Amino acid sequence: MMNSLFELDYSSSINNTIIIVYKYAKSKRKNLVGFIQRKNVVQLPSTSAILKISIERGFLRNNDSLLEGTALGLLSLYNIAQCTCSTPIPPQRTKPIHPDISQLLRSPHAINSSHTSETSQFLLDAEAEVRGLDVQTSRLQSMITAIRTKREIVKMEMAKYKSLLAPVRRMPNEILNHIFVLYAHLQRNEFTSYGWSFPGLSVALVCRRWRDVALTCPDLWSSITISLDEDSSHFKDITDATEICLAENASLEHYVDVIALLQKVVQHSRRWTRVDFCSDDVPYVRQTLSNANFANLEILELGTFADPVLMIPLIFGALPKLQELKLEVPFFEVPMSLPWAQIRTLHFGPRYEAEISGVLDLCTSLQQLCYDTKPEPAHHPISHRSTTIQSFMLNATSWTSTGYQDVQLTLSGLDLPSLTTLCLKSRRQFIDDKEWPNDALTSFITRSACSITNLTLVNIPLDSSELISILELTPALTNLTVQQTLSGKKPTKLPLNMDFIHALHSYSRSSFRMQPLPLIPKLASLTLHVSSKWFDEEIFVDVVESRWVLDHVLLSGVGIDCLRSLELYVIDKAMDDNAYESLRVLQKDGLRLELRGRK
Amino acid sequence: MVTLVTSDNEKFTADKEVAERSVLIKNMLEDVGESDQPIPLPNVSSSVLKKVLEYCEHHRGEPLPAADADTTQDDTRKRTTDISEWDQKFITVDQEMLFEIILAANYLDIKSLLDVGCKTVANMIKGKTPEEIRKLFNIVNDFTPEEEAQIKKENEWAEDR
Repeated sequence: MMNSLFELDYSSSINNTIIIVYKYAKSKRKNLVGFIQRKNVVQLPSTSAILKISIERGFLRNNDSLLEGTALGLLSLYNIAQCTCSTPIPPQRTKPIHPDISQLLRSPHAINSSHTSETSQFLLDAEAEVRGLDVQTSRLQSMITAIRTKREIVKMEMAKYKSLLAPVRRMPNEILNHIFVLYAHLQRNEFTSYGWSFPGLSVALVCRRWRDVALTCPDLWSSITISLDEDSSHFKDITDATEICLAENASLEHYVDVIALLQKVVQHSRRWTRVDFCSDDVPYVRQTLSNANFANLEILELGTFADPVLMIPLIFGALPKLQELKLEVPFFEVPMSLPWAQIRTLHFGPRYEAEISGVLDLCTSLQQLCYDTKPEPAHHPISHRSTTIQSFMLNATSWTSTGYQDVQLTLSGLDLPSLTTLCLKSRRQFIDDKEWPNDALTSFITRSACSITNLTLVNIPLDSSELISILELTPALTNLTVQQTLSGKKPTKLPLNMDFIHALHSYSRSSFRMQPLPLIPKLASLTLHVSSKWFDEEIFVDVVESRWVLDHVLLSGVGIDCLRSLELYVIDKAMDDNAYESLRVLQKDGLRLELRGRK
Repeated sequence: MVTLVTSDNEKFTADKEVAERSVLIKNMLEDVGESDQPIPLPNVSSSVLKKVLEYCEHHRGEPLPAADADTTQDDTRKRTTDISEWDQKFITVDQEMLFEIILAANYLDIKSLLDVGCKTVANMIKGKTPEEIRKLFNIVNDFTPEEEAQIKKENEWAEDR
């Protein structure tokens, strides 16, 4: 009876795993296969469907490595990849010659000569057996490796086919491009001495198609923020990265916030539409920037700047398209070289110290004015009348012992008859000992005789009567936003208490207010951030319903326009949906409704 | 009321004001005039249309972007990456549905919904490495070895950071 050492079952016919097999069979494969064929050791099959190959042990006795090579050679010969090898663990061949080896070991005497030769023979046999077992272990190990590799290959294949079905693949290129545009505005390209973020690169390295779309999406490459110390060790990295952006950039937009601007970037300065500049007077920056071309620059923000009056003409030559200017610079003198007459949006930051009225006089096309109050009263209080300014934002950003004095001075000095949008913001509110200059505000509106349609008040310490008195001066108002946040202190003034809410009712007049017409009759959009402590949901819902009149005839009867949008944020309590159930009905009729409470 | 027929032959009725948040439907209704004829939407399944109508219902009455919106308006739309709380909750769906909603919004021409979907995907990508993005969206790295080598060479500066 033939003693079968190997029994191999094959089902074929993918040839992927042969590569692994080769590693082990390379040297002897051809010879052995030829040998086996000549000797008819196995019946060679004509088909590779399912094979069962037995190799007689007699021909290859004591040569396990040759056996292994033979098996693997056959695998290769028939391009057989998938296989199982069932090799029974062979019984131990070398039998112990001394059943009581423990006693011999414990004996104080040396073993006799017959025992010595037996022991030596045993060791020779055992070593041969160990070698054989090592070969078998190695063969099984290689089989495991082959199976694991095969598994990985199958998984990779699966991933490809899964990828074919992935939902993201159904996105056409224009949608993918739109996603990249939004992504570019979400995460900007930024290089600093401490690290970098390069979102364009992340998506361009995903796959071929994403790369193609990314490279044709200017928004991914047209925005670079570079902050670089003079002693930066990453200078080359940043210039390399910048070069990629510049190479891919197809749009005119460029946003640069630099401490030191690179020569390579400056070569493309003609495409910049926005520059945020903050730098001390670093000579190489000044020198590099003096070669820049700002022909398309529209927005300029000037931050820290050493000697701006001297430096601005040196760095920023002609600015033919400049429309928006933000001055954070602690100017002490007005830089006359800037093209003031073409400026449409002007923002005075809190550190701006130079004369303001004179600058405003120069800005003959100004439409939007933003003013941040200063820590100390301005050296040069504003005194200005403009018939072009339509939007005014006053930020009481700095809080000092002078309280709202700068607000009062600013409001007292302005006369803006074309104003339609007024936004007043304060960082703090409900400060007991600081008085909001409400008279200055009402005087400003009366003096300007403007028709305000949009009013935003954020953290302004007014009480409801003061707020109502302002609204009585703004009958054309269509959009109102009032936001109050709570500080730890007990507030002394509450603009959004129920007196105010009740005053908004379209026909029910409270004792508080006996005007013939409803307050702000054209109100279309109302946004309120309120505290639940001084807020009655039922009355509020009633007020909103009173302003929900869709019928044109009825509208003219009550003298109001229909409220179209309502946003209510209760800042200190979860929203009670039941209380606003009737507003949900209005929502179904077309009211835009956003109700949010504290989570 | 307007009747809409989905790709799987299900019929939905919606207020005209709600349905007309889709520029495609609005134009169709304008073209056919007053009619009770159902509008076929062969590219939208019932499950997706149900979601789309839920969105339109919530946002009914809000101003639509003008058809001839200038590029400045378009730019502002792109740069506003915030998603309102309701929209966030609405778009919290599995990937399959998310991309179906995006496709439907694109087909039906509902710009605000398209933006909500695309912003959500942009948020998912944000801060991730290419490998993480591949894993997230089941994308296979299909660059050829030559392309890989070229890209690697171009981006050597980014290797050790």
